[in-house]
Amino acid sequence: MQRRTLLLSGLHSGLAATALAATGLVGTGLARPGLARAQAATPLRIIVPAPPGGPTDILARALAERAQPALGRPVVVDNRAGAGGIIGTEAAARSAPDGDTIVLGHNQTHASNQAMMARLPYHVSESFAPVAKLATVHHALVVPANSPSATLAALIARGKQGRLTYASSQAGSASHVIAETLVRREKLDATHVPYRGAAPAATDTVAGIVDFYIATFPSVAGLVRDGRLRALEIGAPARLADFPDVPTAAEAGAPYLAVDAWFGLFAPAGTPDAAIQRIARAMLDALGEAEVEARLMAAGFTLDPLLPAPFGAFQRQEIARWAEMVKLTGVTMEG
Amino acid sequence: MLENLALGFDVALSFQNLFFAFLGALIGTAIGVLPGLGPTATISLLLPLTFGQEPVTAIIMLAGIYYGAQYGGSTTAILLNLPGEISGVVTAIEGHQMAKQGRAGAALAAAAIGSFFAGTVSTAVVAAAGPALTSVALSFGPPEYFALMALGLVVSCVLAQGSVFKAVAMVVLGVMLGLVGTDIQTGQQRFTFGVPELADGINFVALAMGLFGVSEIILNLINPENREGTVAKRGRLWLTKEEWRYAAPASVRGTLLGTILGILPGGGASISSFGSYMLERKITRRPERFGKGAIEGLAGPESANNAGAQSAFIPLLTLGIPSNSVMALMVGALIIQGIQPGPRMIEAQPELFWGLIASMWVGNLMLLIINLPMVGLWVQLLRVPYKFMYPSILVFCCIGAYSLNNSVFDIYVMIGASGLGYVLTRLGCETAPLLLGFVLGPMMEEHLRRAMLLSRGDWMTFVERPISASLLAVAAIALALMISPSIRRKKDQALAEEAA
Repeated sequence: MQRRTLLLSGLHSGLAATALAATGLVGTGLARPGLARAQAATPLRIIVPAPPGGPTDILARALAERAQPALGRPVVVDNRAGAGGIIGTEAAARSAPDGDTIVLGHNQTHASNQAMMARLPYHVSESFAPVAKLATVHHALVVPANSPSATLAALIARGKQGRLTYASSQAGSASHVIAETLVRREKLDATHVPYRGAAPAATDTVAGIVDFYIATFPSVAGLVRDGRLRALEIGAPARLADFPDVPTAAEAGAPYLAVDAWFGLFAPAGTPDAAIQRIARAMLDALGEAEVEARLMAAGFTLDPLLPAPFGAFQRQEIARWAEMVKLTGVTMEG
Repeated sequence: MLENLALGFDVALSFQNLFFAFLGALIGTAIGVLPGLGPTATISLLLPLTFGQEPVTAIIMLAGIYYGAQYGGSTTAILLNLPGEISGVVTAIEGHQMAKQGRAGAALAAAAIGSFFAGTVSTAVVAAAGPALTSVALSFGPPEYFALMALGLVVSCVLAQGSVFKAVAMVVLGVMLGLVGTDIQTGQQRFTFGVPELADGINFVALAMGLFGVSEIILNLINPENREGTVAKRGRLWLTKEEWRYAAPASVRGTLLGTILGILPGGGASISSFGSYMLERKITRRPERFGKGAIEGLAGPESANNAGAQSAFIPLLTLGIPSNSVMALMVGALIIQGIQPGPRMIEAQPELFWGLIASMWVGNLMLLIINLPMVGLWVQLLRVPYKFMYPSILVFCCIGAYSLNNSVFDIYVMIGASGLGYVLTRLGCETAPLLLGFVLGPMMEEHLRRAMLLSRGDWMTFVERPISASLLAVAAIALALMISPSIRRKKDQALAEEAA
């Protein structure tokens, strides 16, 4: 079974390319030069537990190409989307701990899920060995451009008097839990309106259908810049140079809203330490390259490289912090 | 606007951009033809290639793949009854019947010309009114979407050729299959039986390939006459005068409908081809032809689909909000290039905005140039002996189903769906209304519950808002017409007279 899975996963990543080539319509000019040379070595597989095009996918693909020479073997990105990242993460947990498979996890797959889901098919820390923390993304609270609330304090005052509605990118997501934390802490009267992803949630916030929405900042930065949304706070340590008018969560009087989304690499538990250190170093070196850095900054990431040991300590803090927030808000998901 | 378009064509007609528009359209056509392989997988695979390109070149190539795939999908739907996406389901209804009657060439040509016409018109609409139309998209809230979906479901029973009762049963079965998965409000698992792969629901493409393509193979193998019919007949490649007469006005109507529905980010484009098919069936003067290869039932939806695919760029370009997964990838590509799509993009990056719009038209022209000469070649494909044909179709279907999520589970879904499709066809039930129920049902539920949350449980929200109220009124009238026995009798009489 194990071997069959490995064989198939090796097969499919080249599948679409093969199918393209089979039609004879794609010239060899498109093939990447590194491909032929590296064929002898076993590839390193990065499982991305999300469909192509999202932030985790962008991050993995930016690194995969650059880490290849340092590792001396090809690095393939394996998109295993489904069930909010659980399918891909579980697949990684079940992979052989031989240093050939890692997973790009985040605050949900590798922290908050533990407290939120009673029947999680893996353990966020015991099933994995931390490899490297890569980047964080700030959350921001946005309101429609025509919202009567100009500040977070005004929004809170409104929420104490009358009923508010807030969007989230998904029930049980960070977007939901952070907003619900605000609601519980400030004792607001607010109804949660979950959406299927960040794009429809942003659309309905722009249209003024909901009163506020806590979003990952890159997903709404363009709308804030163009004045279609107003950001009342951003969960960053200091104001952003590009958005000097947006106060930090602490300045807005709600430091507990400064909860970041984060992304990092994990290997299945039991992976030899030497392999982990080698992968961590190659990935963090790739992350430090000027071109990669520029590309990821443009996509809204704040780079935050951490080696295995400090990353493990960070993850433990995060698991505890999310457990607390889940307890406060009572948000749970059935696994 | 003319000045802007001139700037756009200046950008789009540069040698490099022409080449990449061509390359994109070609790759798109190729993957569209292969069942199951969609533009999402291809674009994500080719995304790293765009890093080194100019932003405008990158987006032109990706857009080319997108509408190339839209077009390529019709080819397989017509020739092999293998829809790869929602619009292909409608294309297959009349298109495959035409192919069986030896009119595959005409069907492919009508699809190509209809798509080109629609692309031209809706590109002009995007150029002229794109920014202004954004407010239309934003005026559609949850109650309006619910009403639109409800109307779609009611009218979808018109899709059925035979018994209305069976059609309703199929729509309901589709809605029930669509309910499998994670409840978006509570995160509860519904009908997943502990299978994690079902947490996101049954995959539409796997279901459609099984219900249509693979079950068609089973039927053909059981009934040798069917398969002879597919292979042997070959008629004139071009459209006859009479076919033109029916196809051209249908194409115009489809284009209008598709352009309007495509603007709505919440699945508007996906119902445009269904909507156009229903419209054509409703207003036709020869309803007896429908289901037996009516060219207007092919040309209309094809145009609607392509028009919708173009106008779906409006929310992307003006708000930076993607309306489907392909658009999301394009936003990703732009962001990596350091460009944040949004209203300001039109002013800050005029050559990008207008270059893309001009390249849409150029891309559509290229699709026509690529595909019209290929019509003969595709039709030749039908002469491949069936014993070679069906194993290769099955292999491609399996590859396609596997590549959806890189998971074997979707192949099982496809196999299960093909068994279901066989049984349903034997029972005289049509599978197209099932798929429409499958797509619209969950969206309708999502918007209904969101609207109720926002109104705090007040049902008046659907009546108070004018757009939602009028859509629901139309749905109610359609429902009344459908179930009212006297009207049905009159309709049957009229049909009988016409037939006599």
